Amino acid sequence: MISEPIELILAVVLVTIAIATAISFSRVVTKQELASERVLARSIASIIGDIYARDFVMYGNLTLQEFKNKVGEICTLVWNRTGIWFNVSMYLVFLNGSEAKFYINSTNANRPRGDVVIITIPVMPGTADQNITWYWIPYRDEPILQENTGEGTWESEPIFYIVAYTRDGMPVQGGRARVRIQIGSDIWQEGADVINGICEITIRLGGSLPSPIDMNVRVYYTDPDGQTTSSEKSLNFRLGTLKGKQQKLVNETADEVWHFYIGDTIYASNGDTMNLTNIRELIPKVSLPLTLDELIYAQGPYNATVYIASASSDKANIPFFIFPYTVRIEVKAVAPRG
Amino acid sequence: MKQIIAFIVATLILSIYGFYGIWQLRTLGAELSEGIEHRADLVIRQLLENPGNWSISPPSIGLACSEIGNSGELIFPYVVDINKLNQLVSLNYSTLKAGLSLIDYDIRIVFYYYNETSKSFPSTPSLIIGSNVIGQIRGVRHAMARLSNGTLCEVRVTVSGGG
Repeated sequence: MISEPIELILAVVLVTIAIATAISFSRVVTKQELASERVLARSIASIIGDIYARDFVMYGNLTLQEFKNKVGEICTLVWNRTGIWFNVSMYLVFLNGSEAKFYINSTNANRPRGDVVIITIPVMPGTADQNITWYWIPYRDEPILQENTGEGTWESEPIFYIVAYTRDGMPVQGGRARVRIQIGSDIWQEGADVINGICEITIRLGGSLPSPIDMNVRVYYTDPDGQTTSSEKSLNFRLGTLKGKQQKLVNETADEVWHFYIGDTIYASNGDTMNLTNIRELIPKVSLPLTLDELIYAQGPYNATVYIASASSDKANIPFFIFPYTVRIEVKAVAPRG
Repeated sequence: MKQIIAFIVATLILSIYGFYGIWQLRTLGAELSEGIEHRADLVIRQLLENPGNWSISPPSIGLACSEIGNSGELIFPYVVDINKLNQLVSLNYSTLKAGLSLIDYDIRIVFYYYNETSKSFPSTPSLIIGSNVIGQIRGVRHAMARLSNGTLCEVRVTVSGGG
């Protein structure tokens, strides 16, 4: 019972001391917890960066959706373990310095109220492993064969692409490719240097009718160290009129290009849509022109199958590279307090 | 009058005790934050963010995977090199402390390996390295990491002692 002013003052002093003690203790604990949460958030950003760089970009073990699911799984696991809620976003960093933010995933629980720690780390997938992977694709799955019945001859101009890259998706500098075509006892050969990971070889074929049904193609690749390997398969011909390279991938100034940076726009001469394949997944029915401003477009080689809407049989296979780029991974940790 | 004086004296004693308590807490907090806690931060970052140098004695301990390339050394923070982890397990306690610059401190490093089948972490540690004796004043840090074979794991570092 407070009946005197002095008692009131003393009571206020005591209550103030109690509150000050509680605040002081709380600040000490919060400071320690924040430091701990910062380390945890940093570690989560790093392992997500590793999963992105290795499993998504370099090894292609995960599709983008699987990567997002994996991130959600990790966030929820850590929530169950520590009671800290996480949210993960990624930023594509374009050449001009601008960025695009993409939400990846978060803990599968309602966001609590509490202190927020934000950690951001840059990630650029790379490896010291210089093992070279190479492959070849024909411009047309079935090269066109034209019969000149008046002259009693046939002719064809198949085009082949040879693509060489290292594990981090970088184009191999140097090397040489050679294409050898055998039809019956006739043999044709052409070679060319592999420049910036891609080489295009066209071979003019011809003979007297009757025309052949198929051809045996063997492609040799000699890497910059002088090691030669080869790969072989048969291709059927398709009867028709020779069209040359009807579809091309071009840049905004209409130059034919096979290398793009993230943020660039891919245009096509004579192409409306394309299916994209890479080591990760198939990206079907992409409209042209296409701006590379989504996370699904990671560094490395792609094969585009370009379609013309008015002539669905006129599809063409064209490889291209997306050059390496940097992403930023942002991890937001929210720790409930009280 | 006597009661008032007694009350004032008692309140004064309480006040002095209260302020002493606050001061103690602040001192303790500062000590924890800047001493043990900072030390625990350094240890977990040394362990998981750098590849270390295992060719010297005592080794400079670091578990992060690394690759030597044409353009220098590539380091993968929070990706634990299993070979280095095996080397860490085989170290004796004094070498472990020396390798982490923890001469006056005790350290315990605990790993929990994620079980893909049960989709959970085990309740008991998968691997314990370091001291079983941990003092009352301690700094604890936990981080997520990935073994070089892809296994997710939780790493808890506890540093105690000092002074």
